[in-house]
Amino acid sequence: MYRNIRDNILREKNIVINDVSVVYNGSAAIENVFLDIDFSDFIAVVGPNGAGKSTIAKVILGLVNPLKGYVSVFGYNPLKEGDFIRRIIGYVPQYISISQNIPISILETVLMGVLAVRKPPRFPSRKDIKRALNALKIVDMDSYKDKSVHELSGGERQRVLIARALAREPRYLILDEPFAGVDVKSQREIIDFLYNYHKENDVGLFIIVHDLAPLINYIDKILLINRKVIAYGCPVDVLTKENIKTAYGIEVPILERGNICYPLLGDMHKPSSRRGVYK
Amino acid sequence: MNLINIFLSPFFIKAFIGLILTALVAASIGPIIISRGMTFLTAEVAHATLGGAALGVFIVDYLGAYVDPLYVATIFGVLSGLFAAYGGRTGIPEKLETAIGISMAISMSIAVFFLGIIPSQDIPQVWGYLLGDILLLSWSDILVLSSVVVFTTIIYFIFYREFIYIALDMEGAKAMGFNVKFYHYLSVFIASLAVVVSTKAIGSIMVYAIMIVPSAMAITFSKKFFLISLFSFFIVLASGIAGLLTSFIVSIAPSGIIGLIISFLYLLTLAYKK
Repeated sequence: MYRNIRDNILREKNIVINDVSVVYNGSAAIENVFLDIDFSDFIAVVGPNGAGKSTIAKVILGLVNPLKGYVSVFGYNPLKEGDFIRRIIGYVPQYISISQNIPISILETVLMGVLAVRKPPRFPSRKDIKRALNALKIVDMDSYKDKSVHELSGGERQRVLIARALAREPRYLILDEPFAGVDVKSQREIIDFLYNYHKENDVGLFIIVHDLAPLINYIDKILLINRKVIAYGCPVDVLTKENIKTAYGIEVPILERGNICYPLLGDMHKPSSRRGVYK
Repeated sequence: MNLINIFLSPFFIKAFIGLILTALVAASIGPIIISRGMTFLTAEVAHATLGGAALGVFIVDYLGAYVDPLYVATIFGVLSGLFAAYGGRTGIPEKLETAIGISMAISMSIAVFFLGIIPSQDIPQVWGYLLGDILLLSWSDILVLSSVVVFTTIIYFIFYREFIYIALDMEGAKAMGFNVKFYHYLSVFIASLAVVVSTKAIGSIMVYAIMIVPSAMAITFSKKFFLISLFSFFIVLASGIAGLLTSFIVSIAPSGIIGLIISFLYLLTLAYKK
């Protein structure tokens, strides 16, 4: 019922990115990107550092102005109707980008997600607090509500940020590197509740990752990108030796399991960056 | 001298009112400055006020137009704060700090330039804007200070959440639909305004002490924004009263004593934390 009402506000059921290029300070972050993303797919976005993964997220959220091309998010123009789009899409930034020494409790952090859609002055009602607590319950952090961000581990911080996005009851979720600095056990737990949330509420997931390993059994599609879209589709079609080589510029060790080629990427970097090269 | 006489002297009454107002400024602006990582802004705006005052005196002396140098100083101080805010608009603390440094270099250069041009008998007047004294408050100072306090306190109560949110994560706040630019400039604007006006009233030394140290102290104990404000208020009030009394008894300027008391309390906090 709620889902029907919610979906009625969408003009289209997909995100279309058509021939979009974004340029930062004279160098292209993404070039001629074509994409058609269904709103209920679970997508993992992979590619080397600086490949424009976060830029695509920003294009969808209407936070960058493309040099050229056309973007439609559920039938809305992110540049003109960005406020609406940012209201229905939950965004989870990298937890490293969160300042540490800020006097704010976990509950207040999650309330940020609820209050963002309000007009100022933003004073939370009892209902708002309930929504925030519910979101904390989904990520299993409700007993931490009075703690502050700096008291938490990487995985716990990540959960709080996800709760902040879920508290808005989003129609779509974009997560930027949610597993960076998160231990394996927490990774698994985070994936589990994200996957359940995705299935129960038919909420699409767009997850930018370095390492596909923890996600491989859950995802519908993979977007492999290095400035241009190298491949987009089911894991079997995307994860071929050629595609991986085109994206990363080097040979990557590959495990073949059934008809899936599984790249052992780990924390991969372009050959030009200071980290080691995998051969 | 007996204590009752001290309390009833007009100097003390005015100083006490000034102290309450200053404590309110510290309570509302201090936590914002600390959490945005722009502690240097206090010094920058205070020095820009100096440049603005010199410019004001120059306008009066050489261009013949009469404007109160205080207004020029205020506008100049706030503008230099906003200029720094523009440089740090991405919200990255290091960039903001650099922009504040650049802004300070520019306004100090302007100050030196105009101080060299204006007649030497006007120079003390210019420095006067930086070296206010809580015992020399005039009723008009109190009036200006209290209107600014009312303004900043209202803004604080309406927008304190937004100020913390952009301090926490500006990108995320933007992606959630907060008008990040507005809150960024608004927070720097009220901080600059408060610094300019309280510098004129109580002097730059005391402004540094009360804006930054109490909040820095409080943040080591509590992570609740309101508690930090409350704590800052009482620390400023208590050390202010202690400083004023001491200054009456031993006849030393109060701002130095108050600054020393607050700094000493900070050291105690650090020792306790260890």
